[in-house]
Amino acid sequence: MSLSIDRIRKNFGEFRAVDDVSFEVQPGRMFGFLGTNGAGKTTTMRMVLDIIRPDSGQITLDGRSNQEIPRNEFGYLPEERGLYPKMKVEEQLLFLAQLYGADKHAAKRSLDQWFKRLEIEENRDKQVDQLSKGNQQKIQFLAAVLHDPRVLVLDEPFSGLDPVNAVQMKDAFQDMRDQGKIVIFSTHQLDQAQEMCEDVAIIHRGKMEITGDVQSVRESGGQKILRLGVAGDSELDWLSSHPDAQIRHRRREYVEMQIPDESVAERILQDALQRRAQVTLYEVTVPSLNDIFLSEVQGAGDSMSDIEQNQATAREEVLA
Amino acid sequence: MSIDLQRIRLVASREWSQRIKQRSFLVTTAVMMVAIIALVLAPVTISAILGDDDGGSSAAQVLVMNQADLQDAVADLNTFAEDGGLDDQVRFEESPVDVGAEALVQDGDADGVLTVTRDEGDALAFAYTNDDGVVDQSAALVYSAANELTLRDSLAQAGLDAGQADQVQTVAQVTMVSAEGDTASSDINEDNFRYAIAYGSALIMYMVVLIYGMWVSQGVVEEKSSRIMEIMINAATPNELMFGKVIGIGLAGLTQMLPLLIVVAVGLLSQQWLADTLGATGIDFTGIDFGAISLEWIVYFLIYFLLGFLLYAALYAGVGSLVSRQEDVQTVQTPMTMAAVLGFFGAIFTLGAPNSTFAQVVAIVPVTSPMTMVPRILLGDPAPWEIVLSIGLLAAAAVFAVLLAARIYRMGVLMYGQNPSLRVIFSRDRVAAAR
Repeated sequence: MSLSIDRIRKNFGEFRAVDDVSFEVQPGRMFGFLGTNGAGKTTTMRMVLDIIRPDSGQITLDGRSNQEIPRNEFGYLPEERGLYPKMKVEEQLLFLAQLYGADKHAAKRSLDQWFKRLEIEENRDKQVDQLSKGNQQKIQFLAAVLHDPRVLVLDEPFSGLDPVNAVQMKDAFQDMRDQGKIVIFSTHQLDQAQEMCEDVAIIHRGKMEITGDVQSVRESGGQKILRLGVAGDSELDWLSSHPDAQIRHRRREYVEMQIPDESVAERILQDALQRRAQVTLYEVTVPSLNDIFLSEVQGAGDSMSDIEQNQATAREEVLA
Repeated sequence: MSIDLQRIRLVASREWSQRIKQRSFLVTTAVMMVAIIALVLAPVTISAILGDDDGGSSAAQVLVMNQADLQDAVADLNTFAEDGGLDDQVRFEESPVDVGAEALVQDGDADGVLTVTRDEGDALAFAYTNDDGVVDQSAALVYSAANELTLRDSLAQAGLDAGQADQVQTVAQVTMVSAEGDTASSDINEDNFRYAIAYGSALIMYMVVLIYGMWVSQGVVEEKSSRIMEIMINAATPNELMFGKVIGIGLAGLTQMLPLLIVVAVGLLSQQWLADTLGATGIDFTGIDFGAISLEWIVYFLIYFLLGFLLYAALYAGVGSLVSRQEDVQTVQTPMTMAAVLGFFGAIFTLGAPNSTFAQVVAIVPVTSPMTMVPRILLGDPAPWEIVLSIGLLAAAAVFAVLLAARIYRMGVLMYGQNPSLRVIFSRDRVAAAR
């Protein structure tokens, strides 16, 4: 059983939102869908859910077109959170579960368990608009899972969560994965994706940049990362004599650079020791997803935090 | 496109139960109920209060001073009054004295005194004395009774006996015919009631369309602006969501309307009882078939309520799905609001001229017929084919509106912040829910 997205394409008028995107999601493996805002993540997810249909290409679950699959096989946590603000929590969740075709009593039993687990028992009879933002997020998550779907589509599930709630949600997602469900979530918090996902796909401007398991994606560039810390010298100006090393960041404790392979790292370390530098950190590693993402989606210049900043501004504009 | 009735039922019942739990719903229903009860009770109550001024009887008491030795003058006068159906307004009695008419009136022994004499030519002459010497309603009645008496006396002098005189005096049977072609009811009271019900129906239908229609589009926008639409659209199809919403709000509307209809019907059926209980003797219900009126009215009202609501609600749902903020709802509702206003004006016109060509047309055209046909049926004389055509066209228009709205809805529900234009709605490749 797997979810297969095969060369899907979607245009909105002149705008090509999704262009020839293919990837595969396996049950029991968390799938992270990465990209900046406007990259086509939400459109792709909506097509997976058959809310909108691709102009061409196919989406299949176990070889069956997703258009023939009953609605209750899918659970959806949309990026734009939404619930009836004036409806009571339990009433609302049972309504949505039933709308998905779930049995009311089964949904109620499952609801009781979830309320205990997420520690929101006391919010049962409150109106949604009386809850804190974190608790609203939990309710929103329950709205996606209460009918026990096989495929869980989560659009930016961590945005707006405090660290405590984020951990609770992360555990819940991993539980879903361990139950053998197909879990696919989109995010632009790449450290989170790196920590949680077995497989990822990076999409940029509607095009698929790279997909695969996290390790192979991180190694895909064939590059390594070297972090070198020297006591009393945070600039390490002498590195300019090593043209193979591209400096990415200068931190207070170390300098991070990208190198083609480990022999370069060894040469730099020897150089440092010859200069009688007191080496406090020497670490060679594969690039993080963040590094891969940045090298895939943009040239040098703006960092991931710039992109996030832009997104935050854009969101405020939408709300205003 | 498959439709799951279970999901429609769920959406509709959520919509219904959330609506009728709202405080504003309860308050509006209560206010409308009080207003309707007041309207139904008003005629008998007012009549009872006015009637009480006369000590329970509104018939003017007129004493007759017979100075002309006329036989059976008082009995004849009362007979004339009865024949004319006026005996509840004027009653003649023999005066105990022969002179002093002014004193009798001033002492309050009578509302008026009629003095009968003969002039030199042996013709009857009358003098009528009342409070202020002004010709009021009772004076006019006395005058026509006196007229009859004079005619009978002249005939007797000419040698005709009482039987022959009666024949001569047979009142012409004049039936009132309306120039519009139908036979107008000669009973003014029934007309008044029909007019009131017709007016009320048009007003209620107008409000139903505007208020419940607005509920529909605001409900759609609420789901869009709170973004729950994203989940709903995953769980159910746009068509199911739209049907569920329209049906749920329609049921909430019926929940509000049915008690009102029942109050009106019970109020109409119990008018005679109310009049008797309250002592409103001045109001006459003879010849009004309240049962028939209220049955005819309720049946047609419900038909036009359901079809008219479906037509408007579907359109309101369609346009509601095009905008994403409550502030924009008003703008897109304008075409429906205009149509409803047109319908209401049509109804007002129909009240005045129920059989005019204009009234005929607006009672058949689907967007106006919900408001105008019920008044036309109550006051005018529509041919059976007109009613059938009107209901048929309305049903067809409702189905068409539902299909059109379903299409717009599929396009609109996931459309945020775009300018809704016809080109966008009907072009295939815009953001659109597929199912």
